[in-house]
Amino acid sequence: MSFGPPQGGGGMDMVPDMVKQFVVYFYRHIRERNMREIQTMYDVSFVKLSERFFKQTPWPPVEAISHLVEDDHVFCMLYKEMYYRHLYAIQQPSLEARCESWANYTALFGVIIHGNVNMQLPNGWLWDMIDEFVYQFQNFAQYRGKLSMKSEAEIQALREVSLSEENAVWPVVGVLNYLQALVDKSHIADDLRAPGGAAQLKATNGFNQSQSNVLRMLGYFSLVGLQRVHALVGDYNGAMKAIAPLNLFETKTLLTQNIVGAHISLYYYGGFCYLMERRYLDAARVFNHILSFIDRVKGFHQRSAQYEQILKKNEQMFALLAITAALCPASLADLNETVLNLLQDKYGEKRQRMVLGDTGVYDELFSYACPKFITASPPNFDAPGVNTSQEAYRLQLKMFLALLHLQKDLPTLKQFLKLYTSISLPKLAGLMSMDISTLRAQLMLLKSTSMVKTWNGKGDATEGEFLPAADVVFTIDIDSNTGEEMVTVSESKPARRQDDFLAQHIVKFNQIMRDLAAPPPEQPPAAVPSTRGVPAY
Amino acid sequence: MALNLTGAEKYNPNKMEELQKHVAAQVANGSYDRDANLALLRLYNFEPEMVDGQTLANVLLLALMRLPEVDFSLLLHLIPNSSQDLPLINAVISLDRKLESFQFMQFWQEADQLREILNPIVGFYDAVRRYILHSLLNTFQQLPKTQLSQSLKADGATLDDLISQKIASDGWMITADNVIRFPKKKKQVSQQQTASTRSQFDKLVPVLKLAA
Repeated sequence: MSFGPPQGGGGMDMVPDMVKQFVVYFYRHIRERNMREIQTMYDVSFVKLSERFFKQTPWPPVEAISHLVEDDHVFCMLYKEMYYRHLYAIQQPSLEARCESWANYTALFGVIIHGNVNMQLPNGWLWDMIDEFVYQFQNFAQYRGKLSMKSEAEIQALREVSLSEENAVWPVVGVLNYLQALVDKSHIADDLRAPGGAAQLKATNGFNQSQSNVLRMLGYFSLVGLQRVHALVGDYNGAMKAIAPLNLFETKTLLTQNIVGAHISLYYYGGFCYLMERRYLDAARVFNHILSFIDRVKGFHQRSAQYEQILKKNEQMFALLAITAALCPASLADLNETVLNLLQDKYGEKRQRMVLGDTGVYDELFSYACPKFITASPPNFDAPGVNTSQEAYRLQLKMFLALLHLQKDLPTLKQFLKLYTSISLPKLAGLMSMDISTLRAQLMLLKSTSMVKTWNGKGDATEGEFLPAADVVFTIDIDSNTGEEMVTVSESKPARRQDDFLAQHIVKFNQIMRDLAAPPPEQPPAAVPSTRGVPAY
Repeated sequence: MALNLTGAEKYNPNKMEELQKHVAAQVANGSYDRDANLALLRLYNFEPEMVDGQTLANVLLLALMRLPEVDFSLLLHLIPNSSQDLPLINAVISLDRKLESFQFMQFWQEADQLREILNPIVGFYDAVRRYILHSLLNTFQQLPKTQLSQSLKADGATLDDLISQKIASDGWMITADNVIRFPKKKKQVSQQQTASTRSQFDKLVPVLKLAA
């Protein structure tokens, strides 16, 4: 395995002194388990040096610095992990680089799984490893599907590394197995299931003075990694099964709250899976939590490299929430005031159009907000003119639109039902321009959509019972007077959460009154903030 | 069902044959193992050229028996276009669509075309009839016997037996002109509506502090 001939920043003399120093100190701190220093060097120094020396070029190859760290095997793997992560961020990696990165991850995880490390590493780095591992896998699958732009030689090389039994690179089963092995060997599932286990893990942040935290925390983060891989191939139930030891509805015991990237991933994929499983109430609750979370903490991350990613996921989740609320208006009652207001601002109009059945808007938002699905199997290398990288996405979109198509007459039906307290079947059939038997089928369909599978506190994330969640409640019976079959619509007032709203504003007003009563400072007093009206939703 | 789906076995591509046999067993003895079937479909997704059409169709039909659970839909999301386009799978998907949109007459017509595939599946017709009945009861308070017969594709002695059984156990009634009345259901009020009348105490704490 070679890095190729040294390029800019390659040879020993070309390594800037500051970088040499960084490597030496980094190695020393890791050996001495000096957590604070490791964290600072990882979060700050590495970023600064990358900005200054390696904006467009990769870091020096490991051979250029390994003599500085006594050729330490593990450190070199850690260095390469950061090297490749940086490389992926600044340019399109070559096939060789992708293969080498795969080899590095498997070697690194192999060593860790066999329990041969005793270092302590920051949780942020351990999450980044898993996140990047899954990202590079996803990236490779996309890259592999784009055959039409590749040369004959490239396709041949790609064919070799994809179809070889022994030496496959980024194979889906391999990726899943490594993540699963990390989960299993770390016994993290048992730790979490023990009474008080999750809270304990969070309180100690996964640290244990006597042991290395690496395997344990990699196991923990691999749960989130597995969830993502399953979702990317379209296995939504498998994704939620993978995070079974974690409880999305009990946020206080989730360690991921301390690592914003992990927390967002957990909830983004969680919410998306619930949406695809038609568990609209659960999806809304999940999105509600994470969107409030982001709103509270985004200020702290403005300077971080992840800030843009956080904002993007935020926007995508609002789009998914809009879809959820359009498919199941009853789910809006589970949202808190902040989220409800933001949703109204960003997607108020689009949500209205979706409620009226506008498939174009559904398509637009789904395509914007869905994960970058992948085809797990290698493409047909004998048909290089075809690009299959979009196939997975198109399949998931097609399934989603098929569901909408099934329900295409429901928006109109609901609108009519909302206008009447009771209406005869023949009359309603006339209004809907359909025959009576079709109308009966549509009414049954409407009834079936009003029962939504929801988590009820028992079992893992895939369990639940069917609970009513209708915005139009009706019964069909023969009217005793006329002998006609009538649909009777009952008054169903959508629930409005007044308590939250009122409590917040009472406190706010009190604060304002106190400020006004206080002795005036030199400057003019701050303007009284205008209050928001109750959202009309 | 002593299938090991943990640890290294969870994604083991060599398990395909075992999982396929497991599907055949479910078909023959009326059992259901969602996790195993999902594992098989994952392996099919990773290696589409290994798909066995018959097994795939059976997995989908086993899931269809679970309505209103969305197992069928979840499995379908894992099946790539190339397999969905197989005539047999296409027919099964169409069958599901008819059932999920409550077009019972069309469902029974298509089911008749597929009877060679459906008949061997133990409990298939019972499960489907159970779902149809459940949906009818959910929506209507009464139904003419003829309509019940058409929807369930049942008549004569079978139908009469069912009706008398339900009259005894579930409170059904049948009028002189052969209209069946179902017992009145509880009003279905969604959780949201009942929850709104109860305030969450924590939300009120800041306000109560002010009053103190």
